[in-house]
Amino acid sequence: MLARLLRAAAFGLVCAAACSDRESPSEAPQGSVPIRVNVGELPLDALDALRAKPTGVVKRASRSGRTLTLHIARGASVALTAPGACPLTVDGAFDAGELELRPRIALSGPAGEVGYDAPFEITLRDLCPRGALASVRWETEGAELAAADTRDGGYRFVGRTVGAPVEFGRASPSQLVAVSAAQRAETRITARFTAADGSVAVSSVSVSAAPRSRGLPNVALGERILLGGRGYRVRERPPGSVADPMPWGALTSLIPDLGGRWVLIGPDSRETSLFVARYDSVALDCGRSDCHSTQARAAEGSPMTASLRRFFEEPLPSSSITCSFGCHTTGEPGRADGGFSHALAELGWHHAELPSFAELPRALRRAGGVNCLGCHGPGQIPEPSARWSILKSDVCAYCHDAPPRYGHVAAWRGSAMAESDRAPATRINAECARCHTTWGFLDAVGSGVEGRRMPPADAPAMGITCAACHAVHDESAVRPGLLRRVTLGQEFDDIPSSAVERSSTCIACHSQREGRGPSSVAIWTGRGVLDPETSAPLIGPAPHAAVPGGCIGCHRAGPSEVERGSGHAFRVDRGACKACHGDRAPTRLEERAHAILVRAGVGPRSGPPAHAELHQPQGPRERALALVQFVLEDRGAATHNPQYAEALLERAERILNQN
Amino acid sequence: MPKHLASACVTLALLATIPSCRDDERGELIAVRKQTRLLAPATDELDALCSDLGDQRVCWAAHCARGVCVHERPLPAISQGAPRAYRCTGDGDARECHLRSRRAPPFRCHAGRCYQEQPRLPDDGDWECVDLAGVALCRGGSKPAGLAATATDPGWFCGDRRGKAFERICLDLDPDLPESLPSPRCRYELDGARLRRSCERADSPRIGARCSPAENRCPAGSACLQGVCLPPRPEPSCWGDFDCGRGTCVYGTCVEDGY
Repeated sequence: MLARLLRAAAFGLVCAAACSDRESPSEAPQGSVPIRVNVGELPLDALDALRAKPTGVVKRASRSGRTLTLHIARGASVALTAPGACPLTVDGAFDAGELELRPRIALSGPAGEVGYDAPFEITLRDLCPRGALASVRWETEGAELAAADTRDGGYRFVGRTVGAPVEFGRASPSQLVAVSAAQRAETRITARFTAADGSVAVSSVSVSAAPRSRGLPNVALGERILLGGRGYRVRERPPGSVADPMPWGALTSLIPDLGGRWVLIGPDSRETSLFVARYDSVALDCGRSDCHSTQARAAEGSPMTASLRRFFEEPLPSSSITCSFGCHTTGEPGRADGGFSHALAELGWHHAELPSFAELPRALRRAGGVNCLGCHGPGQIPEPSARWSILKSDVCAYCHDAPPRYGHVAAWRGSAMAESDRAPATRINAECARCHTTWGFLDAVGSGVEGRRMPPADAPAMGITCAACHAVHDESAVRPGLLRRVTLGQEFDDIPSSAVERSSTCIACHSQREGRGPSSVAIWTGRGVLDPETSAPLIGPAPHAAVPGGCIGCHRAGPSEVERGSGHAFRVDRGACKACHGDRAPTRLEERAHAILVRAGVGPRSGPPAHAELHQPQGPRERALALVQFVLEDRGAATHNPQYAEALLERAERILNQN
Repeated sequence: MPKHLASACVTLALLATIPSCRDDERGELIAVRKQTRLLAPATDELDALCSDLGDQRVCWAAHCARGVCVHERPLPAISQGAPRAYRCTGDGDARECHLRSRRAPPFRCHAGRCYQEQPRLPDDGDWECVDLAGVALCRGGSKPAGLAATATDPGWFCGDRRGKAFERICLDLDPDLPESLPSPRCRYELDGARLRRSCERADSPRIGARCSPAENRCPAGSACLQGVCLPPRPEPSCWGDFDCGRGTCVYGTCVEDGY
């Protein structure tokens, strides 16, 4: 026991010396030979998990960068093993020198996208000189495959990707086809190799059907662009380029091989201009004082901008970092596009070795996060006729359509917001476009560019998209969520700011304007209606105006299978009602309203009235009828504010009875 | 030694009294010490402006002969390569080094020319650079838009450009060089905002090279002092003579009376 305590004390002294930050490196341990072991292609943590056999022969080990220096007892033989690496043996005659860890297995799969409904094959090779197979197990993660099987005793994986999304078939000629994170159908295929000695090696490859695309004319060098229809030719291209459009299923594909301006002539004889560049060849000078200085200043504090830096502040497993590079940095992993992953490769770094954000080299810091180019794409400012496309939800879907983790866009697609401009009239009539189109809304609330973001007449409907409600580079945006802050009229001054702040974009469109339009906000707030006889304001209680978050305090439900963003379906969260109302059913206001109309000899009507019908008519009877229509227009009136809605119906009924 | 470190060490010492269970059939897990900081203290003095230059460490200080002291370049005690494999920054006791290959991409050589993608630059802004007889001089540095945080590379001497409100001039006396090309001549190639450093073999005179005052083989604008070709004390403020009034711009520094 005494001997043990003495040994412990000695160990403590050694530790005290070793723990000193300013320790001057001591000489090599006596009687030892230094051997350097480089980590090679393997992740750095392979060095930290290195084991030696027999024990006691490694006298000291210190690592600097990707090299481990081992001091091994002179004349001793030692076997070194690390997870996923071929074993190394150093015999007693080995003199100071250098060794490299080699990966145990390698997978060779398809390079680039394989296409939809397309076969592919992955081969496993055992790279160790004396490799002996025990078993190989294959696992898939991500998009489902249409077919999957193994061959050659498990050394070969054969699969087939799923079919193309149906909307691709509807892409019109000259339309740049956007491909979201989910639509690319990416599957991660992992091989778990167990050798005869029981050691395990794991390796993965990703196979995707299509490349992600924002559907913008600004594209990265080497990015595959998909266009609607077939029969394109190149009219203008950078000198020296040889790339040509090729058929790609029902679409056309082009992979620009040189940066610069490209002009394609489509099957409908229309021109499509593309601006191609590497991400790192574009100056980050958008924030010059005469350009977008306020946007640049706001972007500095945006969570999008800090999307990579956060990883260093809240450490995540290295596997999470790997898979997140596609969405938390600028650029596409695996492509020579001057983005983050490309710079990482040029530096010869492995993803698992990133130190702190501040210590990253300049090229990685510039692309580390979703910066300006992360959404707008590289290249020059697009032509005026193409600038509307930045408002499409496709830009966000590049990352935020990745169920089950990120379901924001998937949930939104199922909402009425995504359909708001389906009727062509809503895009043509300026009064309708104000709330039925994203560009019209941004113009109306003073965040647009006076119609310059209006899409061409034949552009597909795009709905009220992310950019309407989220102001991603506006310093006044409400956090979390970077919600747009719209200045509202005085009539909302006494509504609690906790309700208005996060719902001002909803209120801006779901409220009446000059006596017409939707009635839901007026009913929710218990004001905004004039008495049919006296024209005095009808003011009532507003119990739900105190719900934190306002509209989205209740309209926050959506598909349950997604982890984040399900609230973008804007369905009512019935669970929120229960806290106060238990299981009580809402008042049946609709039946009463229809009964009033029948008694007045004008009803019943089917469905809610159109906005135009709510315009204040002349005469008390007509106005009373309009009041009933007003209640009916808000299909949620019985929930938004039943007391006020009932009071409006009572008032209308009394006037109708008198007349 | 800090208190928490001491208690950790005592705990570890007690743990050592427990019979060892770490040795199993898989062998012993090697305890690796990570060398995160490679200190290489230099004998710099207060009020001196110092930099590594070639194989030397050069300090500009009033008490030195002709204003310049030249010493041998200190290296970290654990060195893994040639002296120039390390880039060291900081002064005196705080001087620290890192392997160049850890923070900058390697040079890739082809047909007698070596290229370095993503070369070192003074900070995260956009820069235009030239290589002047072995030292890197850059102008630019306006604040880049849409970045979470920016950082500067401590190895550069920087100053505001005369007469320009938003432009800086930075000088690196110890830029990266390809190991396979002795005494190379380098240049920066610009593709949009992207820089690439390209080097080829050359025997032209270089800043930092050994020299003899009698031979006068130092690059234009430099002087042979203490046996080394040296630029003037770095006070970066100019890109060309036009920035210096009646003076001249020598390696980014305005010199009024010749050098």
